[in-house]
Amino acid sequence: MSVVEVHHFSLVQVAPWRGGEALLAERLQAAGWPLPPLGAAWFGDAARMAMSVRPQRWLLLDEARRDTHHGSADFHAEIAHAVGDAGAVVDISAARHLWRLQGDAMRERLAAGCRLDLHPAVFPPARAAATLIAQVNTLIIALPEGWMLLAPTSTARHFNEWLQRITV
Amino acid sequence: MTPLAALWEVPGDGKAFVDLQHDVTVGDVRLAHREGYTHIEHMKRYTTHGMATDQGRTGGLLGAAVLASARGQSPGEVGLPTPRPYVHPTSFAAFAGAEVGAHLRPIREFPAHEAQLACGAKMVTTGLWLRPQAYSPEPGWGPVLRESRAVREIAGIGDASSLGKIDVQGADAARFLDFIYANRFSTLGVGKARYGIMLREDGVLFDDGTTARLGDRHFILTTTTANHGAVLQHLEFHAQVTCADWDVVLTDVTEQWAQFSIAGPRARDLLQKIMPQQDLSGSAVPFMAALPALIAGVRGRLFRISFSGELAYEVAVPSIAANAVWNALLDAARPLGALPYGVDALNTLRIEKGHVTTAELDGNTTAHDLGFERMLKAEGDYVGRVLARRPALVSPLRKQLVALRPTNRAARLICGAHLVETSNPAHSLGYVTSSTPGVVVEGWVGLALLANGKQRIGGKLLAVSPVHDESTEVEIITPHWFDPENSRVRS
Repeated sequence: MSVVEVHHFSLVQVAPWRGGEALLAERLQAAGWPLPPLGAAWFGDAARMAMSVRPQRWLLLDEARRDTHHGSADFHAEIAHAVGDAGAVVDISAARHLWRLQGDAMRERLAAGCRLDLHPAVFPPARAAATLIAQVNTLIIALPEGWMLLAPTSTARHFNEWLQRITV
Repeated sequence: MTPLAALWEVPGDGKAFVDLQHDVTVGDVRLAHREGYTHIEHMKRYTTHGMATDQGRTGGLLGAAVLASARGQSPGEVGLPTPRPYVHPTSFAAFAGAEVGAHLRPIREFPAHEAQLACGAKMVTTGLWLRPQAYSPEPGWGPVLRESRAVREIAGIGDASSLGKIDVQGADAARFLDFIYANRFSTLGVGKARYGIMLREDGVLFDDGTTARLGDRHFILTTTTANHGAVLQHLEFHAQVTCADWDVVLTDVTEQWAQFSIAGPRARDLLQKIMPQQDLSGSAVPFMAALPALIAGVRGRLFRISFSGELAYEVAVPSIAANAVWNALLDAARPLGALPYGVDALNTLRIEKGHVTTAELDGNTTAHDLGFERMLKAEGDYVGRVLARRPALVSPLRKQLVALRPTNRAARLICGAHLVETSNPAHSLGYVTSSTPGVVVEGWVGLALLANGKQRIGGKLLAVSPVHDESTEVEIITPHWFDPENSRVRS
């Protein structure tokens, strides 16, 4: 089992103006960001991912675009340019910490704090959900191998300690 | 040959049960439909159909089919209600409990937690947050008054990162805030901030905070630390239900931004050291200004707002830069003799200034009780407007906000003490909500909620705490006794 915390990434939330979902999807598709349906993730390449865990909201993640002390201003500006007047774009790169989890026993260990059934038949790769893990609001995405977790920055130490503990 | 037909319901006299565990009948389902609970999930909540331990596994389909009949649709169009554990598989491990020891509850740390500890912060738990209480291991009021005095006489830096922060965007953002808050935000200019109060539906005060207009269609609002989750839920409810046609996008950015306050007569000098390019003069950054700025080399936001009653700024930077910016502020503070100040000093300062917090916004008080009645919009609808006008909620006999000082300057003022007349000591007229030793005045000062309080200003009562077996005479004064012209804030 391995738990790897990823530091410095870019993450923005996009949302369409009312009734403008198709226009938003069209513009982001043209910019190389197809928007997945609710509860799903789209993997662009090793670093890029789009996910949706609530209606009318998408998160765009780019691990290659390193967050800096300025936040992810450049990534935010790039996505905002692509979206134009089709919706709202908010930088939340500093609001979440990110972990990648792998290993055969990880699913069973995660069950100690996650009430979702993570069996591949139920939660296959490219599924995404917002749930509670270790009592923390967490986004979980099933990867081709393992899972990605995104938890709030303020709870990162608690969450990381919990992850380390379940993998001992 | 007669085709097969579904038989869900046999007409006849008497009760016909569809959910044997919860005794839900065909009549209950049809009543739910007549009452407007036509969605399967709404019917479920109205009747408790499918809520028992079987989660609809015995009668779920039957109830759904009766509802479908009432709607004139097929069961497939109506669907089944969502089953919950234990019908929905859940691991025993999730119940058996990872919630033990240090992980009994999550702990929330400030973005600059490491830097706070490094400069001597003693942490206190407020909700799930760990907040700097004071920057000294010394117990008691000593460090609190030292930090408060630094703010009143020089400057102080404080960490306000636990304030809830909600990004509001959209063509109807201003209209939405006008509806959510009791005072108006559509008239707020870009680059300006305004204090706001919001009511619950029942007209009682819900929360307060400062909202800044970052663009024509873009606002950032702050909530109290305690009410952040509830306010976010409240806003989402109205955005999705009562204002469902409006163009508003809400994003919780509490975790994205660290926010620090710089307060005191030399706050400008302190801040200038880490913002050498920024003109901080009163004309460039007037009271209640809000603008993008470079803060210790970090792209962030600068607000000129004050909770202490002093010249003050707040700077917001992405959380990832919090430790670096806090340390830069600390380096700038030291040569001036300015100090970091914790949540206890913040409380002391705001009590002196007469600002309210959750001790007074306690879920029972109204805008009239706390002296906010002039903030209530005369025109336009807002949440709580109608019920706030109920006679009992605007009665002058209600408990109203006042400030107190013991006439014996050596006596302490106990928070929670009841206010009584000497002639009738068994009849409580109100109670002390917040108290502190004074910084700018001798002795203790406090805030209280007192029946007919505004009319009692200038009078005297007893503050009695039977729990402590203490009693002291107090004079009733206006809560705005400290710098009533706000000249320090606007300096």
